[in-house]
Amino acid sequence: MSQLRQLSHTGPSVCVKFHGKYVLAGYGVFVHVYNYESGELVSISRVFHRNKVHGLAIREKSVLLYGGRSVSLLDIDYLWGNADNTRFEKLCHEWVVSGEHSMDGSSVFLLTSYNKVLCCDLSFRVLQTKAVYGERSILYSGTITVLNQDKVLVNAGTVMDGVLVWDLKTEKTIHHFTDHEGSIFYVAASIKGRYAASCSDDRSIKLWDLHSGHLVSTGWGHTARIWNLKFYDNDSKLISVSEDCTCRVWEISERGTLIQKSIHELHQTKSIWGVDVNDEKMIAVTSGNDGRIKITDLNARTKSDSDSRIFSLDDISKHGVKLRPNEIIKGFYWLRFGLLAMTSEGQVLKFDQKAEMWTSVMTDSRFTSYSATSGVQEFDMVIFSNSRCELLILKFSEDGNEILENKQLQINELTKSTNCLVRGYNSKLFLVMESPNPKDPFFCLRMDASNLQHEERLYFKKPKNFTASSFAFYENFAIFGSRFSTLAIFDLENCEREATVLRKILPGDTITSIDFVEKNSESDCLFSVSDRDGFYCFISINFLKRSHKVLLQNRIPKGFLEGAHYNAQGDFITYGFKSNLFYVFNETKQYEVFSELCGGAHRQWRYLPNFGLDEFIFIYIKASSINFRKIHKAAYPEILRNGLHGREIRDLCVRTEPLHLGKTVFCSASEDTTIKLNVLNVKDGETKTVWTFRKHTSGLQRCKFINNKFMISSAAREELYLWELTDTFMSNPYMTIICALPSSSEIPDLRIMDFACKAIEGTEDFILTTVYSDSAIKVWLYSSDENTFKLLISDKYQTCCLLNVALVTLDTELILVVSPTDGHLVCWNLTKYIPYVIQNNKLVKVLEGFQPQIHLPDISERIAVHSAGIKSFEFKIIAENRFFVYTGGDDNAVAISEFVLDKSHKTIQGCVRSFISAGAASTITSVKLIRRDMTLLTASVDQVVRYYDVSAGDLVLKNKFYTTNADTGCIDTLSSATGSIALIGGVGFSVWTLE
Amino acid sequence: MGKSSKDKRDLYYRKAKEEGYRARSAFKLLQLDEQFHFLDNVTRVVDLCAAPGSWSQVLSRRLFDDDTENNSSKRIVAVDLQPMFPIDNVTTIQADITHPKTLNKIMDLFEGEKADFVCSDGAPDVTGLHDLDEYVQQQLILSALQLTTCLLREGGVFVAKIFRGRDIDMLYSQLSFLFERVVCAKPRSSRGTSLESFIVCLGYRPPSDWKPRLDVNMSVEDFFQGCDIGRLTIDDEIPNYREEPRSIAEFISCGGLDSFDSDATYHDVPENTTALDPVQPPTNPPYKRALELKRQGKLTRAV
Repeated sequence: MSQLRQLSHTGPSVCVKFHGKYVLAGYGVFVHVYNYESGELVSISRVFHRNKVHGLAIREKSVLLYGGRSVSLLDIDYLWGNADNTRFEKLCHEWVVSGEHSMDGSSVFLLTSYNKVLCCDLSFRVLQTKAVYGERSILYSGTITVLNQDKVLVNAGTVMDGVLVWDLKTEKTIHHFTDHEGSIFYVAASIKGRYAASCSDDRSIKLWDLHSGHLVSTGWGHTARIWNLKFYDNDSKLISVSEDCTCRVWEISERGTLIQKSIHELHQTKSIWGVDVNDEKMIAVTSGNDGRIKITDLNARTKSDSDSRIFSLDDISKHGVKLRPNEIIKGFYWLRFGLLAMTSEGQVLKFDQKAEMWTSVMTDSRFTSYSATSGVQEFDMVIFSNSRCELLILKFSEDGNEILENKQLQINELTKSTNCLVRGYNSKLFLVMESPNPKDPFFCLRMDASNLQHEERLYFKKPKNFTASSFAFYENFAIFGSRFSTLAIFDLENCEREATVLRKILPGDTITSIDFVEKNSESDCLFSVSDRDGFYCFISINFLKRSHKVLLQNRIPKGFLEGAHYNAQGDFITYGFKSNLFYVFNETKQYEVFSELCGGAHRQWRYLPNFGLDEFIFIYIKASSINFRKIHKAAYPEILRNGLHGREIRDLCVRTEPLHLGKTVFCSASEDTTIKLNVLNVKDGETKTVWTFRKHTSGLQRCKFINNKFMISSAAREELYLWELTDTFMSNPYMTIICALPSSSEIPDLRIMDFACKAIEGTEDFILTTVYSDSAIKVWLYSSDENTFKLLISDKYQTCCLLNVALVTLDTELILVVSPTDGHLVCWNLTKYIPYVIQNNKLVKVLEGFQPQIHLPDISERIAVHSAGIKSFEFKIIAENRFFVYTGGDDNAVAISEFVLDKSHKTIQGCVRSFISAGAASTITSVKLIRRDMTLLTASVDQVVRYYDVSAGDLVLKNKFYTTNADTGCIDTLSSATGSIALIGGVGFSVWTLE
Repeated sequence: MGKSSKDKRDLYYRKAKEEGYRARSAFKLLQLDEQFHFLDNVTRVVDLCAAPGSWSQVLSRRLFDDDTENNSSKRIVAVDLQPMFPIDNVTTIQADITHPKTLNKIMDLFEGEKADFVCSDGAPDVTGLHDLDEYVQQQLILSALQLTTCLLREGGVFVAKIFRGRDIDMLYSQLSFLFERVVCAKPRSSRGTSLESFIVCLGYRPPSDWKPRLDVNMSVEDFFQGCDIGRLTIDDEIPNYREEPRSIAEFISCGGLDSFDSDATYHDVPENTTALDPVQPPTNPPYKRALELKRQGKLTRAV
């Protein structure tokens, strides 16, 4: 018999713990062991049958695991050695909130949700049950503090009654803290026993003095519920993690005041559940609902003194630099040896980072008051310009001690300049000056970078409404970015030639960066482009053919985007500002790499590479002081496991053909409103997200690849998008929206529940049908030439919501099948309602003399199948006049219905062939035919995947498997050489193989 | 239930306000009763976890307005930990449903007679940890059930809100030890997209050798230890993992297909209708202070 075997699982992780150079993570029913130094996943061991691991306690070689009502005690080596440790699992009668070893290791304490402690020996014989008499609170949380062999404190976080601290031995309440509002989600005791900290539904952290029993302070900051707390650094600090996906560090002052010191945005919407700190390395590990295990440097990538410097003008003058009373820094640039800055008095200052010295290099009065500063790091060069088109170029020795070249220039070709852009390319220095007069051309100076000789002067005619904001060179072309998201491409060999102007390539305004990515075999050059309003795109430009195409367009979650580029690992990195915060974000893996508070508007800043792999520097002026902030390569792998979505996955779709590089891609659509494009390794089920698309504004309903090129996604607010996938570049697959379905009103509030497509042979056109929450049914024709959806039919079923739709071709007929929330299957014959001729189940050619009709014909057949909504269906054509529909419903039932078209093609007759009322203990959310339609897989909220043999036209249950994904909602499958691969989504994601 | 534009999108929401119900959930009980008629000819009923009180409102109207015979002997008791605004013909008690004193109070009000019907529409706040949320919800149902076993007459009816999650079949199995028929019912007014359903337990038949007794020092688990409903018991050792009894209850969709579909978008609410005033003022959430601080701009990333 066929066996389903789980290849991989990604899902919520509730607990994490450091142990030597390892991190142990409770990961669903598994414990993962990671080496956090190398990032390697050392082992995966299943410890429970069904329950998630919620916590673990380690004492020497003994590991106590608990989760739900399950507990297990095992030798730590077993987690490395055995993939299956479920034989040690014990089942308690109450939920185990927390567990600890006794001081001498001879017993364990289990705190249950009824505020009782079971004291057990190492084979879980209950020696004693302890509780406070008359106390009957239910607990959401709790911890056990083992002070010594006799003194054990229970810190209980109740649902309704605050925090109770009680003595295990005497069974007496020591403290009852009632200052919180709402349920207590965590209580932690400090290491030395002076404090306890708790957090609750009120979103605050409270620090309690365990000696006096007083509330010492309250920490506000988290914007949602807080789930976990931990004292560290000798009780001087507290770390908190929250539903708001941040981890915050709080300093505890001498007097016990909680002061928020740093905030790290680490996980995806929503909830970080677990946290632990390695005191020695000052790193934290967190785990979240998104299945991510994240390492964070608590010293914010080792913020030592030399990495973070502030110099006021007073400080600088103490180095012997003479500054006038009102002299301020106007611009700066970072080179290998340190900083160069221009003051408002035309004074050039140098900061030597080795010597930690400021010196005055020279004064050039031409740059008094107005100046612009830029430079080229690889040439050790800094360039100053003013509005009168005067330039000063200084080339330094590597150590900065000598000025190798000092060139002063006056550009007579322009009368005034407001903009000077500088780039180095192929040992040439490019300087572009722009005049405020829109009729003036761009003036470009090209010279040898080594000696600043062999000047060439080039002019480019400026396109209309163009103000350069960024530029890039590639081969013989210069690409300028402007306001209005416009690009202009100039041919350096042929400056007279008009620029190729690409207007409005992004929804935002000013283009902030243009970066070359790669050139493919077709000579298409790929560039990444960002705009300040938070959008970025990848654009493929063929300079020879003068053609271009946007392959991907996306936006960052919030804030302004100042630049974006791929890093050495192939992750796409964005940076910019969120109000008064500068951030660097890993867009591929979706986490904040770095952030720094740097003040609000009119900021002067530079974010530049700092001469080393993944080394950067952020320089800014705040309150007229200059700040340097070095950002080092992370000391440890930042991500141990990246996870997928932090909320329910609503739909999954795999592209049936692998990409040209052999990779399999699939899309996941989630309640979190994003669609992710992921690469799947079909051998081990490992998944890597490539892009997270933020185009939808509401929870997703469906996503489907309609062929290898196109994917369609739908959501609430009548959002339906047609996406095109490109796989002709090595760096990544790219995907972008090429067309949006028109909505029926200006403020769309309908949900597009499902859609179906039928290709028109020999074209990229297709018929699309959409069903809506107001019972509407629409049929559209997509024309690839016009890139439009044209409405063919618009009608309604009744008033109830429609859940699923299919288009079935039977020989020469086209049947529309719909399932509403009323549990029926409803058919219409659409053959005469679409402008195509159908032959052999295919839409082949245009129907001559077609008369469009906006309304649907009468219903051909309507049969009751389920007693509640049909959540998912699949169909199979049995003969040229017959098809089956496989359904799973909210009524827990699974069914096969049969529809037969009579010979005259006038009527359709349907009946239920096979019906299992108790097909699952809960809603059946997905049904999927696999193995040449011989087998039906069903997924349901009871977390069981069932496997039916349907080869004889009825349902024969063959097997069932437990899935670790809660709220199981969708399946997609892929045929492989050895069998089938099934992708299962819910809260979490797993890949199964059917052998 | 506030004053909001949800009026246009959610027909039950608007209908509840029009008919003076404190929450749209009133229609869930009405539709369940339409199917099962469990409120026909009942005299003593208990509404547990009753706040804000829409089910008590339904009970009041069904018992007293629809059938005015024998009104003097009819009793409705609503229990909740939260305070409730008064409802005609309903005695509200602010108390813990697990406490023996609460049982005594109800029995006093019933003058020693047992109840015909007990319901609970209670649900705890969800954390997002599905297993924990389901466990807490089931404990709430069992808490309601333990009180129910102390005051429901034989043949009586128990109705409670459930979420059909991973372990719902264990609860079905346990309830089937105490009732003749256990049905999982989904009213049309409960969204199809939600896991919410209602367990309708008909014909209470407790084991003859078991006398339920509430004790302040016993957990819900302890309470059912003497009554074999298939729950795990522990004596002196925590047992090995084993599969626990599970069964799938009969599913009935109720409310009729002609009633409104809570998943549908309706257009027949006039565009310019003003939102109706709420029936009851909003409650204070525990995070009220945090919201105030946020509004004042004090919860920013500036540290």
